[in-house]
Amino acid sequence: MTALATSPPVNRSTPASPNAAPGAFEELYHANYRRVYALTLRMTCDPEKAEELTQDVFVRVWQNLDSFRGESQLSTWIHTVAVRTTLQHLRAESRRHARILSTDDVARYATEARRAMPETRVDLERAIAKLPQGARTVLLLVDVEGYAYEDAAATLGVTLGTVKSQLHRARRLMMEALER
Amino acid sequence: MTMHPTEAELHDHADGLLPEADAARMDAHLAECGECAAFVARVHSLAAALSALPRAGDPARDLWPEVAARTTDAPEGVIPFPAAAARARRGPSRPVVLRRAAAVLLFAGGVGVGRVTGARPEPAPGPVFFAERPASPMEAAARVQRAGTEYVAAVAAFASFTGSADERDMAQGREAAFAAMYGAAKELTRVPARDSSATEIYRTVSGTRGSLVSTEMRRGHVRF
Repeated sequence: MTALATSPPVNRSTPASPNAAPGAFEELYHANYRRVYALTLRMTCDPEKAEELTQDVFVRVWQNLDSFRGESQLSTWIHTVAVRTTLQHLRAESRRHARILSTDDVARYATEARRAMPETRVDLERAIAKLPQGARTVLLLVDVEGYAYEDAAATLGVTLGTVKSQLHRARRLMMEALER
Repeated sequence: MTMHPTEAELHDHADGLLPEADAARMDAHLAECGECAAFVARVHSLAAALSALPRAGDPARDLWPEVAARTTDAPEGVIPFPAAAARARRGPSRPVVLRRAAAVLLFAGGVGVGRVTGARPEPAPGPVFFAERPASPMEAAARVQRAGTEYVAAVAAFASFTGSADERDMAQGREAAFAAMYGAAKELTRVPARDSSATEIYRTVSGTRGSLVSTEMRRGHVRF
């Protein structure tokens, strides 16, 4: 099972393929869903939306397994699908209305983060939730998920300069929030 | 480096992104400037704390059953089974409302066309009762969803015969499809529209039903 999450090239004939043996996709799901959930939870700060997006990510993975070229680890590809699926949701949501997290939203998120990830630091989670959406996304990709600046820019479809300015803003806001 | 570096330069230095010569000058400045050195130390500390955060978490419920329902045995072209349970619990989001509206439009459009074509508007077999009543509204809604998916799959299979020489069979199939849509729409009207999303759906349906019928007529799908 773990091999599915870490083995490099996978093609249509791998066990993860929809045409493969029953249960293979379930193994793929179970090897990766916790990472996808943590990512979508932090990006949205909305537990219910994160659950829904986690499901959407794996449906999209299922539908697009044919397009996976094996140039990266399967788990990395799933992570990319998760980021893009969540970004699409956030952008669609921001077109309809600017979502501003209320104090209750932040408290609800912090409670869920502590439940889902007991070893996390709640002060950091609260500060992350209070960031503006764009700054939060860049901070999560670079400082939490370990993306290189260039990879974050490519994933987000923005310039390197935008990634840097958003990251610096996010860090400044985080430091201010943590020092209060 | 006598002047203070910019904040961006301090971040770049903390991230190890400065060219070697600039990094050496920055180190020299930091050795003399406590303010800048403290800032870089804070950035280092924050970055270390963030990178140490857990990157995996457990959802409050098992999400796999709905993923399985949406990825298993779904005929090609059929809309995947949505996460109905989660959405129903918290009420419909706007995209869900629009999807529902689209679904109802399909029914309403079919009803309108069915009336114009002269197809029998009543569902031929009469009311259908399940042997077992669903235990909850959620179970009933899920059953509707599954049946809807099967219906779409059946119509898609029927539509694949478009152009067949068996015109009589095709006409009967089309009539049956409309009758089923009409029956479903008729039953659906028994569910009172108590929320704004449902009201929006009904308003959308009533406003566009006519244009759907017109489109069908222009395409020559409606017979008089």
